[in-house]
Amino acid sequence: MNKLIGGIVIYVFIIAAIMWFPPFVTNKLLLNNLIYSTFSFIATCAGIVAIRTMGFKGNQAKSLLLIVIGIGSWFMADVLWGVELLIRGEAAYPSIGDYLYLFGYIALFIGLVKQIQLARISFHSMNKIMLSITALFTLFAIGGFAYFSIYLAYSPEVSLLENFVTMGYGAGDIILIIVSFFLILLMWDYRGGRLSTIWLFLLVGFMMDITGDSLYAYFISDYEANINPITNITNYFYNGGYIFITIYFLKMTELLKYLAQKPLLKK
Amino acid sequence: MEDSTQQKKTLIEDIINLYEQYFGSNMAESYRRFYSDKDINTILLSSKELIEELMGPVKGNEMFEKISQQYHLDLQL
Repeated sequence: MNKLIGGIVIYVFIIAAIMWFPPFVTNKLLLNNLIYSTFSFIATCAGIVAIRTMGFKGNQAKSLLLIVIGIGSWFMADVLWGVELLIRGEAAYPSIGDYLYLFGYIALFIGLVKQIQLARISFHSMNKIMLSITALFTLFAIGGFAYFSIYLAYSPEVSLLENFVTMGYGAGDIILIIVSFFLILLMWDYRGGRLSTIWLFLLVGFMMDITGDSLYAYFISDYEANINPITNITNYFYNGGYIFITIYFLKMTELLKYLAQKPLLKK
Repeated sequence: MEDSTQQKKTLIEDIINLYEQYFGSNMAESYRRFYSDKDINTILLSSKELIEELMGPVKGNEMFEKISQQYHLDLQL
């Protein structure tokens, strides 16, 4: 934990030093990206600490590792996007950062599928009304994203690759919606247990990320032009998503340390 | 006596494997050492308490029932 805090402090100092560098002072979008990258960096570090505490054996460890890889991939994408802004003054589309964002969605999805398989949700013991309402809401959200972020996102005027990436973001959000649905079921199935509380933070993190993506997609021109308040609001949701994911990793680490110590206390 | 010892070893391994799957190898190793000199009833009580704390009373009870049935064990409180 001390190494994590030390790493964060060093990173914040580097960010603060760079903020005085002229290209960043005059380029607010770049500055936003740097601050934004800090949150994904902290989330990634917290994830690494969690996986090191858990160990690498077992399905839960594999699930956690994939979630960490997904978040780490998003951090790398944030950094590369910022570097491109610095060097070229604008980010190409699609760029390596975009592919890393999409890869992140895939890693998160596989990681959470493993989690869901391990958990063995007891559908038969669930409240059928609650299950139906949650499923309907999820289908409605999927339908909305499929229409606005995939169907409407397609443009015959741009290249196939650009369409693939743009629609890929919509598909990525649909993935997050599906896993969020199952996270809700997991939390319900494991209600009263410590794991259920920890998963809540992951769920809120994803919800905030999906909201950020929705705002970005709807107000893309304003966001790219760094027009406030939409840019700030969108970034608050993205940053908030990373904060909750960080808390998820830290809570998981805390739980694992407690579990490892518990038998020693019983002796 | 040998059957009982073998049963205890198998029970410990199954529970530790469960811990490893759900909570990773570091935690599983701590409990492997802790359970090695405990009797079956203590192991079952401990694992029931732990599983319920982590997974909640409903899921925890479901998980624990499977272990009990597998070993045809009755928990003696």
